[in-house]
Amino acid sequence: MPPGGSLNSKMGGKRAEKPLKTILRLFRYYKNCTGLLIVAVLSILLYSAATTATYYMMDPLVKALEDGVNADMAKYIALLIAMAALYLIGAVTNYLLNRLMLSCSARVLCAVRKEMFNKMQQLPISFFDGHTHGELMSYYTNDTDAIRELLHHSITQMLISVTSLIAYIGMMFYLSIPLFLIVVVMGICIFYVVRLVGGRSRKNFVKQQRVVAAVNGYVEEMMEGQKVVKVFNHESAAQRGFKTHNDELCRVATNANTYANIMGPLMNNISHIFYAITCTVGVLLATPVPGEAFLMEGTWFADHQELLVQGGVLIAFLQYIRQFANRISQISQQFNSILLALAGAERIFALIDMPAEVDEGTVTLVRVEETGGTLKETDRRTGHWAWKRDGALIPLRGEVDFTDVDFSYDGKKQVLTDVSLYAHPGQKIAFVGSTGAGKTTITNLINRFYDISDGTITYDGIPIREIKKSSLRSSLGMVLQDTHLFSGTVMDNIRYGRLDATDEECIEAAKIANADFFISHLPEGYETQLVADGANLSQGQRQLIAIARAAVSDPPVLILDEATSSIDTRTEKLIERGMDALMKGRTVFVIAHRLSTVRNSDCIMVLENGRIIERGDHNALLAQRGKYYELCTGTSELS
Amino acid sequence: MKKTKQKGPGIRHLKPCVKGYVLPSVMTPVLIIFEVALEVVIPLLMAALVDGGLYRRENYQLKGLISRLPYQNNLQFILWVGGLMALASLLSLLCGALAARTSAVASMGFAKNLREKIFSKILSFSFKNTDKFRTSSLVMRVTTDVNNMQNTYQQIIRIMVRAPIMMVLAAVMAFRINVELSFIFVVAIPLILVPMLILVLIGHKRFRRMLKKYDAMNGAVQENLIGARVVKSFVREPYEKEKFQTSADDLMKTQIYAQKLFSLSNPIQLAVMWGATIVLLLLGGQRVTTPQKIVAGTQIEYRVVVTNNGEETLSGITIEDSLMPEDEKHAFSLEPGQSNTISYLYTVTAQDEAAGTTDRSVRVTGTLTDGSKAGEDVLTVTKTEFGGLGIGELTSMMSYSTQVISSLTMVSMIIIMLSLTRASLDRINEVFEETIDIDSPESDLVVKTGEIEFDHVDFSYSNNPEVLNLKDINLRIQAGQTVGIIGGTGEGKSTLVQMIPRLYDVLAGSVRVSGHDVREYGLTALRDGVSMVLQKNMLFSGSIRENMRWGDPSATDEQIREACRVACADDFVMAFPDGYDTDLGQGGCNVSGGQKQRLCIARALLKKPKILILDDSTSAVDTATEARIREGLKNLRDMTKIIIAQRIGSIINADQIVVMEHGAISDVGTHAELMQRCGIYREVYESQVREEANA
Repeated sequence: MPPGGSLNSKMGGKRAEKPLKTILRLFRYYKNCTGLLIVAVLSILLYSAATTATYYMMDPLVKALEDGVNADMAKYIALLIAMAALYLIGAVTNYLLNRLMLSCSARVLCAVRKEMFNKMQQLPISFFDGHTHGELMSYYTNDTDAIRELLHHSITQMLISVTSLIAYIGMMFYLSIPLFLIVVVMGICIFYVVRLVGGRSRKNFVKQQRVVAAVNGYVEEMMEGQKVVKVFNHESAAQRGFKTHNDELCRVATNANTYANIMGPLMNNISHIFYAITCTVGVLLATPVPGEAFLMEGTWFADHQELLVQGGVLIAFLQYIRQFANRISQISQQFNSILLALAGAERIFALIDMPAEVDEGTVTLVRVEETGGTLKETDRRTGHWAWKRDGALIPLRGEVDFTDVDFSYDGKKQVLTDVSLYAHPGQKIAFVGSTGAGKTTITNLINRFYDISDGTITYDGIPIREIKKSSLRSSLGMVLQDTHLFSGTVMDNIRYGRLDATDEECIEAAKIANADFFISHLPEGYETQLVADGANLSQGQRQLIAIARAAVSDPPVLILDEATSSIDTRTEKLIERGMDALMKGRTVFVIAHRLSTVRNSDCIMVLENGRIIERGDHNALLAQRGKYYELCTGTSELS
Repeated sequence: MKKTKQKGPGIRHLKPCVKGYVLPSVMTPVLIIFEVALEVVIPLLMAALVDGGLYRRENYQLKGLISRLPYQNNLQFILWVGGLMALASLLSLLCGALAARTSAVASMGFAKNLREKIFSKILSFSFKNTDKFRTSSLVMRVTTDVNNMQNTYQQIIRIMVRAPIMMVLAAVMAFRINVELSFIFVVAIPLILVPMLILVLIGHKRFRRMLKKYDAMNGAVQENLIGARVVKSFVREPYEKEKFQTSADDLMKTQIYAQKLFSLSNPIQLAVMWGATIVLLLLGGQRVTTPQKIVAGTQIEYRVVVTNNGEETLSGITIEDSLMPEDEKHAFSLEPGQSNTISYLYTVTAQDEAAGTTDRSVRVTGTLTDGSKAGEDVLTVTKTEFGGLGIGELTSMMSYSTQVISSLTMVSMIIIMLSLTRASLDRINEVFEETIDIDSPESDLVVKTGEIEFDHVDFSYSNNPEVLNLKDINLRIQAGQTVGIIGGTGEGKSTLVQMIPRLYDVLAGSVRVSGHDVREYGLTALRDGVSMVLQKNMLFSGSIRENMRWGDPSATDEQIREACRVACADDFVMAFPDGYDTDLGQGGCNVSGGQKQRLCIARALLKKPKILILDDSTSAVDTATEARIREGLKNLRDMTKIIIAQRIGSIINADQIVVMEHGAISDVGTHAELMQRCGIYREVYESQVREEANA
């Protein structure tokens, strides 16, 4: 990758906190391809050894040249063949290591992705509520991309560079100790330069990261509110505000990039300077013909001839010194990007390490058939269900009790206090109250998206904590405020409610939900493809499909978080009718914004600040002349 | 470069962004050319040092330059040449460091201009333009895409210059050393380019497939995240897991399939580079000569130069040189100051090899005009070994070959990278190419009264007369009137009012405000006169006071409070610990929905508009408060008020009530009139007030 190519990753700014631990953990994923990895590492070692050896070949080659190639052509050709053989090994091992590392890294990446996704499926809903979709997606995009780059390129490069470097150092030490001392000085110089420039560069990139965030935030806000900007003729003010941020970014980014850009030429030319020094000193120490060195006659070197070098040694040494600098430069470039990539890996591992949603429940939901007054478990679809508790079968009826339930999302702010309610099978219970009063929270507790802090909730007499979450949720149908559909056909989306439903059953459910009419008028009917999140349908139509989806799952208890606030009256009527059909014979919890939809409830709970302040049916509540009465007559605010 | 060749806008919109940064943009490549030139000289100096200093060849690289240096002996020669090398590296370091700075200045400045330009273009978008792009995609264009362009720009002025220059200069140097050997590049370059091209062509298709799979997988993940509640309530985790496993496995396979091709690119480059080295050593090795060791059978080219230093013409000059072939030895004449060069090839004999040297003696005699003989007193003669290849030269040839081939690789890699930034360029161009469909005429007109007239107005979001969103709208509103608009979603209520401040332009007919077509006003003047509270409204980060000043930048605190009082917002604002200095946070997230709506109304009031439009702006405000707001608005007598509402109660007392259906006005009248004659109106009214009646 060319030097400028890693700019994006440099923008990331955040570096790993425990790089070693993370990298070791990452290596554990190689366990499924240990064989490949071993061969790959061997290839790397062989590659480094072969390339190191080719530079060394310059020594005998130059000797042969000094002696005259024509004097012993056969020997020279033999040397060249040996060198070509080393090159061949180099090329083949290079292919092998690239190819094998690719296979390994792709597999590891796939394993990491799967583990991450699986973990995400097990996380409690509070996790999804606590993060934006963008944040969560970046695990799958930025962070996994960083790991891919790390595993496929950086680590391979790093291994090659480090093993080669060690081999070069050994060879240089072996070739000539005086020249090696120059290399040591060079190494020290480079170390300090890297530390100085690298440190500054890092500091400036952190600064840049902050400003980038500010610019992005500003842009986001202005784009979000663009129509407001226009209505208020606020364009030039927005432009001025942007300019301030943008100028600051330019200033900071220029500094950060200067340090990043300067590293390459610095390393490159420092190595040239030392190359020049080594070359000069080497020529002075060299002996074109044994016993004829420059610094010999009458000098100290006459007594220490072992320190002198031959032409071939010098040429080989010069090759090493160039490669030495290249490798160091590569390592310093890789180092930062490896730390950045490891930060991505750390984030992913943190996700994988999150505690999964606990499910201590043992009671399961099973299909039953009734023969002669006794229940019998069966695999057949009978339409009858029962709870299986320690082998005993309790018929599923749909009775939900809350007793003195307290709840808080964060352990600080109490959201529900002393909520008690009793829903008979087949009853319709409505919750009314302003945003934040705790309506949706109650439904979140029934299906155990969140666990209560105090009190008890029972379902057909069984504390819901004892029911396996999957069984509990299967028995509850949900139609949520934000209708979420998946890409796929309309049929697929309805079938999401029950995966083994036949086409006929799906269509039947659509009919119940009043959705069949519009679906059959879609260009391809039930086979119409929905694009991302059903954007090609209207809000009302999506809602109807969601109702059909709940209908096909045929649950004994329904939770309807109404979403009719932005739907016109006619569609609303259609949806209402769909919902009414769906509610027949089930226990239903309804959250309502529009009071008209709750009037026929068996019991209406008026919530305020997490408490039920009034309860009763419509007429009883009106007679109370309390909050509900105020809401109905429009003298009180519902926000 | 690929980019300039394409059709369409190409880099036309980017060019002006270099403004203000032309000097660093030009300096960077210039400095880099110097840096590369100095760098390329280093192997040449190394060759001079090794050949001239170590092996003491008579002929070495850069002899013309080096021989002018004031060295007296070989030791000084070595130090001088070594010093030159160090100097060249230092200068190269300097140029490189400067280029690092100038390239940073140039590319960051370029990005700054580009960012500003694209941001300003987006700000100038009309509503219709905005509707075409999603917010997230616009944000991405200003941030990520500009970033990509910035990196690309930096790469172009640095590496895009560096690599080809390096390639050319290194090749020139190699040709300087030995022309015949340099032809190896002619073979090596296509050997690299052709396979690389094939790899890229095949790879491109495979990569596209991989990216598609990647997008599909991420799309599925995103859906899963958004629908987490649905997944969990239907207990579909196992199903989702299974779905993901399949697409992850799929992605892995296509990833390996696409990238395995590129596992070949490195070995191919290495093989060609190394192959070139072997060929160089093989062919070059046979030409290497050293003064220290001469081997029988080696051909040496000698060059004998005879110069007449005298003042007379010399004739019959003959050379005595035991090595010179007889046919070269014919007599010649030389004018004063003239010289003659004779080159010949000599094959080293066994005797020479045994002696360790060839006979280097040469003598020359000639005849003066007076017939007397002249020798070395008048004629000078030098005999040098010429041609052949020094060991240093061969080594530097190897360096050059490496430089040429790795630069070539670099160039091909950059081209691939550039093709990747094409997507970003396209996205940026899309913004620049967007034509703003609402232009602001030069006009001094200001909105004087709140009188509005719709005259046979047709409108279509898609500009398609077949698909009209508003059909033949005729409506007159007197200044100061209160007008209510009612109708279902999608019936055209918001569309209708958006015609007034020209958020969209009519397709046919005209909208007149204060007697003038809205298209005759300057946009700023029109929108200052028409204040609209949007359905999807927004407050911005900053204090409440700062947000209020959007309506009027020079509003005093008292004016702000006054507007807030009308909008029933003053009470709750004053109840905040920080009052009007309360920070709203991004998107106004620190206030409730109803409070936000009231603040938005206050902000619109601060404009002191002639016309105020409330597009369903009190949906989260309770009925009592809403009534108080209506009461407050009533006192602003000159101001025309248009209120879109869901609840009939909100508009029951309006001077006119407009009932919209299917993009057309189905009826206009007062509450009483409509109750009498408009079926839809009655139906809606009855369903809404039934509860009150029940109570």
